[in-house]
Amino acid sequence: MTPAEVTEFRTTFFRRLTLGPLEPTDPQYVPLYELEELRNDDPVELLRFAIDTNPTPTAQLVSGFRGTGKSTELRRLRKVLRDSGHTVLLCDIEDYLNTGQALDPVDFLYAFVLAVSGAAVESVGDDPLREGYLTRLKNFLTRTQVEAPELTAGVKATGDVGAVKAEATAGLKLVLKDNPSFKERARDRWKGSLGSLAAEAHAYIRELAATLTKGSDPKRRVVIIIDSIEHIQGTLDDAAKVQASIEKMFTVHSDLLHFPGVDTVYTVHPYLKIKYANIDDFFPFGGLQIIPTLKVRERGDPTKPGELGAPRKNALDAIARVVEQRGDWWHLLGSGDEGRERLDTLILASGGHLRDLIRLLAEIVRRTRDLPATPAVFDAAVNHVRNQALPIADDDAEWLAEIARSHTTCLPSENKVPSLARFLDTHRVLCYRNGNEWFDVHPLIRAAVLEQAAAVKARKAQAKAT
Amino acid sequence: MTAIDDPSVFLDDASEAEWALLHDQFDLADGFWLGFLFSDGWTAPRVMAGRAAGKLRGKGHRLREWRFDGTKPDEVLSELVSAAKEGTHDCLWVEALSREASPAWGEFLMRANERREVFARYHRGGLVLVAPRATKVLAQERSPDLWAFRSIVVELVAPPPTSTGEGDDARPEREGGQSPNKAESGERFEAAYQWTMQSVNDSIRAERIDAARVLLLRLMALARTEQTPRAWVARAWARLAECEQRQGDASAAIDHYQNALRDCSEVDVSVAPTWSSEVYWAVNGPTRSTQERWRSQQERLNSSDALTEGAEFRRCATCPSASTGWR
Repeated sequence: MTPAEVTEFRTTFFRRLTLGPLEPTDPQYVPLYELEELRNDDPVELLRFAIDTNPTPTAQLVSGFRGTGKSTELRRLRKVLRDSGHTVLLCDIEDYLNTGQALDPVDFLYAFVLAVSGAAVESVGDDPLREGYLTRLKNFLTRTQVEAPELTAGVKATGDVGAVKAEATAGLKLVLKDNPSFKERARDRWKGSLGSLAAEAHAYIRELAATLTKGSDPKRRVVIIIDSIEHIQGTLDDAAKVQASIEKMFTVHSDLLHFPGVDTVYTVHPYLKIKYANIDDFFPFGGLQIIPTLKVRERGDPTKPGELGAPRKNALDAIARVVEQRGDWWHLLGSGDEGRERLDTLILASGGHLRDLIRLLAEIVRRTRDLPATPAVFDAAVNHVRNQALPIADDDAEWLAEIARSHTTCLPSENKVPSLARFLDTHRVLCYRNGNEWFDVHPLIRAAVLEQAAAVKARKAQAKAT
Repeated sequence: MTAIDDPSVFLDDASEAEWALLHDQFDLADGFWLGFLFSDGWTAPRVMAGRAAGKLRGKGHRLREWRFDGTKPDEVLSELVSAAKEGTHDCLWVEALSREASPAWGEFLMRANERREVFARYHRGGLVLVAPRATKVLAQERSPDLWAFRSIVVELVAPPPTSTGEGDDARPEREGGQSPNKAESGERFEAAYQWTMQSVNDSIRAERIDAARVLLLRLMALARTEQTPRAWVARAWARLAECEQRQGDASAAIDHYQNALRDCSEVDVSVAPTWSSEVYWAVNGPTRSTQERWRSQQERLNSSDALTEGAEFRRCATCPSASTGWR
């Protein structure tokens, strides 16, 4: 390659190594769940099956770790359901709720109503004013005796349909997020009578669903996907309080989440499954589906903590296809067996975590001036990405080493759930599935963790001896 | 505190390598990208901000800077969100490097994590968060979603102090950056010049422009004396500018061509204005700011008596104007 061609390749490939969710129609999307070994665990198929086979509306949970393709799979779920003729509203709750605070049931019901209304306004082809969605929402708020001046802009908006929609949805997003007095008034109004607010909200959503499906086949359902609930988290100081509020919402108040007339899918944090093994009982006819990290190695033998499980060729091939859809990776890593070996090394280093794999590739592209990249550049890029996850506190290292050995969470006590959630959020721990879920420390930091834990153990032994 | 535009301030090797990564990020990225720059000293980040600003100027964009003193992260975030919504290709640079800034970073990162969609949806350039190294863990834990979307992480490791007895306040100024005026005196530039220029020429012939640029940056960081031939210095500046020009970093190239003119009166001015303006406009288009800048430079050149003196560059077979086809 000439220098100009090298530059051209680096630029093009780098720009295709994007980190955001993909639509299933995107050429870069690879249907990993079509793989024989993954087909039975396809979360989208499991969610769809529950919706299509239950005569009554379902409420289901889906969980996935950051960067494993959860948002992409939710988009596939939307497409699959729409292709079946259902009306699907995909709502990002983060647009409507502050995710840094404890989840209050009153806030959540209002956020749900606002988010679904916003999605309805955005999804209908016609003028939302003519359809009366906003008027009905305003009536709901009046009925529930909480005013929202932010809505006025949307209701009064004129102009082309796109402008009206944009203005209206922007107003909806402000109601709860940027208006503490609204929350205060709402919580004050419904203190001690949450059931009454839930009844109003349920009635409103049922009516909205009836409007959306008016005149269509009664078998066609309205499915509401509420994304990003798992992003609700506190600071280090109040993480436990925030998590307790979410747990309460999905257990004690789970009946509020079963909206009549619509099927609902909520994304939740994986720790809910870890802490509440019986969480499925609160959400019958579907329960909680976890989108695991793609397993690139077999589970290691717990009696031999130093040994890794064997690489899984099918998974490596599948992920190689994902990379291939992004660009001609062999220019970067080399062609033939040697190049593929380097790609496999990267895939194994990523632990099957796609976002981390993309990050590793991007780091090599950024660093290299030659194609294929030299071993020195390759190693420097891997080390650089590894260092981003370091340092690790001693007590964390000890816990992580135990996870690496046992392939379980080794949760020492319930009050350590926020710390476990932190491990999962930062990919220090990855979740895989072999029938049951199992856990492992991210391969990039595994050696460092084991080394640090051994050093801590030695120090403790020495201190004890002296 | 402003970005250090003075090109005579150079970074140590490790920081220079990190800058090379950030430099390439500006070239490679298309659309929104997020960078974290962790540093315990302020000099290197300031130098990088200055260079980034120059690089962006060359592309017709800006480096827009915010700093918070530990008390107003909310206001900064609010302004940042507004800037992001403008949808420009500018780089939004948020910096707070004092030790007291850590609690404010915690608050800022958590709130920024909530607003990350605004950046991803509207902003078309970089967002660079410049924080003390101790903040790295905070970034991962307080803003896991933001952290998950990072495109680049630059970590500037401060070299160990070279002397004792100085207070903490004095130390950060030296870390990561060094000025030739303050550096060890001697004739290091002269000693390194010949073989460096030979290597630079070899690298450029092999189209290894980046390697040549790094060599030149290192050369220019070395101490110079009154006796250092100014033509040598000017030639090295010009060669550095040539590398930058070929890498598309036109703004830095102009700065360094100017340095070459400043440092050597023997430059052939009848040639110089033509090559640079043509190349500059070919690369960047005739934006108003570049035209004005060029006009102002030409006026300075034309009014300088020194530029009509001497002819070393014209005579020299390997002089920049002869070897690079600037004409």
